[in-house]
Amino acid sequence: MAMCKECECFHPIPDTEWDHERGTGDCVKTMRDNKGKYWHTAKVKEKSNCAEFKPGLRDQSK
Amino acid sequence: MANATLLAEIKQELKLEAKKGQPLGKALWDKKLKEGPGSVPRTKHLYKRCRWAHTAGGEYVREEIKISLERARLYTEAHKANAGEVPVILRAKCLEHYLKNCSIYIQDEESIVGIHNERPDKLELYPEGGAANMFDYLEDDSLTPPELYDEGVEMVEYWKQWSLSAMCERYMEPEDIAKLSTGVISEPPVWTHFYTSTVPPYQTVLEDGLEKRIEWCEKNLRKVRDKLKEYPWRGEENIPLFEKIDNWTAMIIAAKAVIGWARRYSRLAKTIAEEFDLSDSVVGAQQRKKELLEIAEICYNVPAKPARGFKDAMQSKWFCFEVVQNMERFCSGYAQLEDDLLWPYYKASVIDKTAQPMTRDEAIELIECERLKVCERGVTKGRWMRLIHPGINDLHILTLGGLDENGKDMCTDLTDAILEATLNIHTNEPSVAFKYSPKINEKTRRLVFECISQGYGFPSIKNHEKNTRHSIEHHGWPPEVAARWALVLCMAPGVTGRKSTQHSRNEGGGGIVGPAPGNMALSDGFDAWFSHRQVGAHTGDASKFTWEELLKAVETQVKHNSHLMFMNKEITSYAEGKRLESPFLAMMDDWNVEEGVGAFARHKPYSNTWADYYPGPLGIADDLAAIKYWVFDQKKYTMAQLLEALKANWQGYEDMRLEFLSAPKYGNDDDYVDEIATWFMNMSCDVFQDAKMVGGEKGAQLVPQSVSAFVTLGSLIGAEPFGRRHGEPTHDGGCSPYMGLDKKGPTAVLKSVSKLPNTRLKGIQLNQRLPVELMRESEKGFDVWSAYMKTWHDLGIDHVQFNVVRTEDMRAAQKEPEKWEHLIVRIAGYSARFISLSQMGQDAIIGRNAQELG
Repeated sequence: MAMCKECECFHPIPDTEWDHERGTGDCVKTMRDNKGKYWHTAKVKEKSNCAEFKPGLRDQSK
Repeated sequence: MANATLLAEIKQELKLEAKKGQPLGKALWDKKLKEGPGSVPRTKHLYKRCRWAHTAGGEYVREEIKISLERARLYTEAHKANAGEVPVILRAKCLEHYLKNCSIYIQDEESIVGIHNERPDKLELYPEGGAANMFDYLEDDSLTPPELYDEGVEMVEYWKQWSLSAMCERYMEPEDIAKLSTGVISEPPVWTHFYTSTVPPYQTVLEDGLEKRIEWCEKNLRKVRDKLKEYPWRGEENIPLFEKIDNWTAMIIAAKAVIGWARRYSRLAKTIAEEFDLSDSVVGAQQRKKELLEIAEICYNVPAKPARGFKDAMQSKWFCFEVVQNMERFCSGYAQLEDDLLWPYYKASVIDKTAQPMTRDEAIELIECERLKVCERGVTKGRWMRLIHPGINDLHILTLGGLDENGKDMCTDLTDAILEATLNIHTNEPSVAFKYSPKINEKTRRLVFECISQGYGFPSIKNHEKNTRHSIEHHGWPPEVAARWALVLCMAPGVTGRKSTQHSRNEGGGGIVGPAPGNMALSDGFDAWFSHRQVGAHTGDASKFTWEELLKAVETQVKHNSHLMFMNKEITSYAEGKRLESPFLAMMDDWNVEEGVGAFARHKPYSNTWADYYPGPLGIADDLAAIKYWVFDQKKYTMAQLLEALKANWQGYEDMRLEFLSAPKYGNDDDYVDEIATWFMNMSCDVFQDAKMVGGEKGAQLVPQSVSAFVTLGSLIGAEPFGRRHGEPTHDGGCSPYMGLDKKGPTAVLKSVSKLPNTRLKGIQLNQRLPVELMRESEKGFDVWSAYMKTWHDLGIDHVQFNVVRTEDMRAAQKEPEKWEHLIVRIAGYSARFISLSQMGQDAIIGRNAQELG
């Protein structure tokens, strides 16, 4: 099954960052509602998955 | 005569093309109706799509608003994982875990970022406050999605033993808790509604940056650890150091977590700029990308490091506000002396252009963005508080103006820019208080006038000199601290600056129900109207009272009610110090860092103990005057007959009610009743000052005011001798005459108010209503108003605020609310959109007499 770390929304958190935690990253998505647009980040585990998966492996070295 | 040069300057800054002879206020009003609020496309866009988060009738006005359990969940996780920790470090670790793992988001076109909610229109909860507030939300189907209910209940169960309520209840007799819980004599126990306020000492973070404050805490820790190693052992000196170690450790954890959280926004802003489509931005894709990269740079810089310029300062302040007042805990307010606080950064950016250079117009745009961000804040507070705050998110009040300790005008170009932004963006939040003195420059006073003439109901005007003197004499603040006071919430001055600001409402705030002592004195303390139980003191059978016995009974009720209230506050203060510390707030305050004490430590350099009457109590003066006139002077009625009529809510006694209504009324410069009002206020000051709260050796100070409790608590107060029926609004403000009963003009009102012991009162709220024709539609308005303000100031009166609104507009808004969303009115300590008020609230505003000046 596709995992979050293979999704285009998944952004690994560099290990220099305060909230770096092995095996987690930021899931960044554009969201819209009747008031407008916003960009939302939630912490996710690399190996989790969700129904909105979009393939697009991110360069883990960045 | 209007200063033509000044007017021309203001018109140019507001980009007004007023027709020749057209008053500035009218030109501005027409412009906003035609073009909508906002000085630039961004703020016009943000206004139109603003996620208003205010309530009406206790309910949120937008049905999209729902609760989230993200904060509650993360706090519960961290609490379970660290349950063995000392309480203050446990609180710091809960904050750390939350800031590390919470969702964050940035909305389109935002210039200031940072929010405490999981996503837009989701409001977070605070399970550590106790079950009452949690269930208030969980059991509301319109707010809680069904899938969250069970999890929420589980959290309530977990927190029962750890909550503020659990700790506080043991210190008060059940009978007294029951009395307070009715809300009839005092606000309900603080630990059930979990409402507090604070004055964050932003200056330290803006000037130092968090990294420097962490270093200071670390240095203090090293000193103490070295002391502990000193030979020989000194237990009496060393044991107290352990708590300091805990406090500094917690401060460091909290401060590092906030730096990390802010840098998460930096990362997100950069990601959006580099990876996402911005082509639909109102400023264009290229510009928006540039802005987001700048936001990323700013969020990396602050609050870790000192603010360099105006953009840094606004962002750093906002981050601190979010943490202190939404994340560590919900705290009401937006307290700051904003122009004084931000002037160095505005000067650097706008005037000198040495750091983050920007134009004056760009600074005004940023201030407009700030105002809209406040309107979107979204808070969860107990139903009691939502009911008495209709039409607002929360009591957001910032302060401007004043004189320094040498009597020099402190207003700057930033003061004017803030007022101009307020004129441009037309929001009711945050409200603005202005520290007025005739010594303040004319341009700023003119802008204050223009805001009032737009009908905002603010700035509310506080007498700078009177309040500064009161702070020196009654709180013992030194002059340079006293001069820089800002309102804590609606009415009460508090310390600003780097240290010893007010951190909790349990130090100053809260109060007793103003009309209640009068009601209770006539009923031997029994509430026959709402709770049907004994809530007040036993003061005897009022039908047999002499005049002196009646006064004594009123005084006894004031003592009884206020004593329970002070006990309530101090119990909660004690408990929050033990169990609900705010280590980030403590870290912001120089005194707390120096001493290694928690945020709620009270033996501090500048204490600020005070409490309110709310709603205002001067119905008692009208009651006593009516009784004195008809029962003891004219002897037309007996006390027994009066009590019979009151018991019937005046039904069947209309002629008698009209006679009692015709007795002398406060607000008409009539000594018959004004002397009673003065007696009552002096007696109340004596009673409050008898209460020596922790740190407040001069005694608690008194602030009569009302929020909108004069409407919402009308159902709790029985029929009154002055002619009021049960359920009708009570007196608004703290010293406003009853609606419609001030018949001798505005100067008579001022004269009645001036007889009260203004120098003894920390604040007393006066509402007045002035005609639109004079204020907004006449060139004479400013001069006439200025002359009135001089009289007000010369009489030494504490406060005044103005409604400027037509009765016919309000009636039209009642019929077609969708056409009148822009109509803002002053309620009491805040302003609200007229259409968000209940019918009774609307009628109460309509009922206020419009005074003619000049």
